[in-house]
Amino acid sequence: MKKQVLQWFLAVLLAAALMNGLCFVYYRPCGRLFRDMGTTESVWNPGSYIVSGTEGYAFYTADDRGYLNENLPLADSYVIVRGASFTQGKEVPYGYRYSDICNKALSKEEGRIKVYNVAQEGEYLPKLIKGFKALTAEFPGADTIVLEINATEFSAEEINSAINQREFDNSCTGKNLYVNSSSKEKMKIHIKEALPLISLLKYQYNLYKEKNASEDIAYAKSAIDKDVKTDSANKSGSSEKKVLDASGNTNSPYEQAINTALSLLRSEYNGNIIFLYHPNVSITEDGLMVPIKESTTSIFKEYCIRNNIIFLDTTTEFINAYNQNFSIPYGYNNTTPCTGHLSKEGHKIIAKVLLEKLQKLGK
Amino acid sequence: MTFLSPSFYAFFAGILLMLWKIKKEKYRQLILLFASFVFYLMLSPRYLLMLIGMSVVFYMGGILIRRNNQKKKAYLAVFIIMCAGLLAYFKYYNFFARQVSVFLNRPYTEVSVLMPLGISYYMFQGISYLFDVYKGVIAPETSFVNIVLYIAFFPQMLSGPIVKAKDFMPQLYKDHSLKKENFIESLPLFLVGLFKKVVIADRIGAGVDVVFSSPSAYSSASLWIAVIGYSVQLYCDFSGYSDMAIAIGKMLGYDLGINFDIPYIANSPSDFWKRWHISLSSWLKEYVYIPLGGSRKGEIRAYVNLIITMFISGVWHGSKITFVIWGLAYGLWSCINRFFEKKIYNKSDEKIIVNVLRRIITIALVFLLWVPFRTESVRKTLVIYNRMFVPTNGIEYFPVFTIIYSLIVMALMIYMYIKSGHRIYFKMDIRTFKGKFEICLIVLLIAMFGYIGNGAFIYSNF
Repeated sequence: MKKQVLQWFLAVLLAAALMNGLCFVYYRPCGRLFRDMGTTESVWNPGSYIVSGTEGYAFYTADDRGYLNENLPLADSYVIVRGASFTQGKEVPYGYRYSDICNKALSKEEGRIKVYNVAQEGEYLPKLIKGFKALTAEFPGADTIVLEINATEFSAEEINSAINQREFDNSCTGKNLYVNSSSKEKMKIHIKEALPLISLLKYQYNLYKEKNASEDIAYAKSAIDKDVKTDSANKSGSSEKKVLDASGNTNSPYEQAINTALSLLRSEYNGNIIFLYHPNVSITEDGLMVPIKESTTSIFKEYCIRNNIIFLDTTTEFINAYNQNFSIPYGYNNTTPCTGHLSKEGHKIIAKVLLEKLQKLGK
Repeated sequence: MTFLSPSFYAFFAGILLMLWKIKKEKYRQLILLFASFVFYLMLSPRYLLMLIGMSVVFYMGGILIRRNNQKKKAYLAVFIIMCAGLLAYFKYYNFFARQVSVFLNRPYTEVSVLMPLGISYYMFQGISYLFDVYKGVIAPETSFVNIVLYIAFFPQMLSGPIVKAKDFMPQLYKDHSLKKENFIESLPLFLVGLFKKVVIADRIGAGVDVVFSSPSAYSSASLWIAVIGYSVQLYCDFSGYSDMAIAIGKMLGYDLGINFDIPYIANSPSDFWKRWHISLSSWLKEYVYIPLGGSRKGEIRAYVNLIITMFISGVWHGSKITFVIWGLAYGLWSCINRFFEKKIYNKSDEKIIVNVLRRIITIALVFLLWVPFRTESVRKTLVIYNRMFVPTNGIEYFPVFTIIYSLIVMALMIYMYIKSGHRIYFKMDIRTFKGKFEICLIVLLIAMFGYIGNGAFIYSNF
């Protein structure tokens, strides 16, 4: 019995060690340093590397600030591209992200970065607003800030809560955070980096949980669908309270929240602010590519214009690229087309649109 | 609750614990019956009564057929018509009603007919019981519990294998105390089945689904890969389920037979059906083809019987016209093959190159025939064939997992064929360190590379 237990223990250990080794070339996230002050809620452990093979395939090293860029100094004046996982782009090899393409095209000084990537997964529009003030403090030399968004549909509450913005403190850069972290925290980071198998299993488990949750939601939705339908006729329009703005126009809470947020961003920064919008797309049964439309995009665009913020929309370019050579902006050969993150083609299209704009702005 | 849900493992562990504690065979069977009802209740509660009702019908049918020797043919016919009628109602009501409406040029509103889970499988098992009693191969069952257990046995109730009554009923009179050897033998089979389903089939399926949903968007090469991918997905999905069902049956002490035997190395359609979904094809042979006269009533009649049998096979899979086309295509191909083998081709002096060529052609045709099987409409089938054979531009989608897994599956089949001509079962003896290590490895691989997405078993839809 004792021998059997020992054999099982060793077998588990050996198999886990073997698979853990495999993870170093398949899925290896690096440690994350969380912070209260700073543009993003967390940064990567400076100097450590990420291997991402579950979606696309790429290898990245975090720079001293904890973002995914080459570890080089910034140019005297530079462009910041700020976004979520789409901008972070760790599913495509280095050099293929739209920020890398733009940097290569605009960089005039050897060994200095002109277009710098500041991104962290899961940080969408509300978090971009929330971290904007800190961004301007963390990167004071930025003459243009590009805010990448994939969706504009958020509740007024989410947008309003983002107005209470984060501050920046110099002790919260990647390198300083690591140096100042406790031995226990450092140990946790190193264990995580040495045992990518655990991260992969955790990743799989989270996917499984998400799948179950979405199935439950779908089931609950279908169950109450009838009730909602019968009620909707009586309640339509009542949930969205209309209010009047200063000029007497009717504004929804969403419009009010967006307007407040965008005017705040404008007031905090004198340089160019560009919202870079790239919609999700799908392929119809007849083989056409169509954007997945949100009702709020046109409203969002309108308030950008009102607040002197540039709104760059890549919808037309996505459709044109597909019609010309069947380029798909999302998905990889190890996932499925039109799902997940931006592909090499997607980054390329976005880079072209952004580059044109930046060049027009004299960058 | 399916074999993939964590709740199933808790449920199964509970059953094993009870079976281990209880020594009397009679009570063990009652526990299995109870477990089968719970399993069914969790999936399709509203049709449990129908399952029990049908068991009553089969039970009575067996007794009536045996007691009335002179009218047994009539009784058999009545019961088969009843079963087929019920199956047809659930599966084809909307299909036929729609065709009639089209014929009468009247608008048609779809009627919601929810098909009871596993009906195609347990109806065929019930028919097998009635046939076997009719032929005198087995005696009519006197224990109602035994009949219900045969019909509702949870490991194979949803997607087979379709176990013939003559193979299963005698097992009910044996001892089914839990044996260590059964576990040692079954665990690797279960894990291999789970691996085939979760790692290979579901991953390939994600890529296949997008291509088949909009085939007009994809290039010729992408469609070829999707068709090959679907062929491998279907095999791994269904044979994976069968492996798991057979392993669970074995752990409980029941032999459910084999359902797949390296099908993609077949050299003819008849060889393919001896290797693919063996329980269904042998059922069709025994209860349809042979009763129709098989090849005993002349060549022409043999061709007709082949077409009827394959037509029924197509119809059994579902109410889409594409299944009918698929079945008829197999019938026609089987006839051509039979004619070719009988009149022109001499198998005895077959050269290796010819043998290999025959297998390549067979597999190419099998893969191509999965297209109507997979698509929802004839129009889509034609779009796919057209784009496959006429070089067309489109999205170039070469899913790496599909390519890698397809190559591995095909290479393994070729290896097994060269080695033994049949499927080789991986042996992982958990009594040794090597076996333990292999089990740990496969469990980790499933956890690491298992596809988390749509995990429904394809064949549970039939």
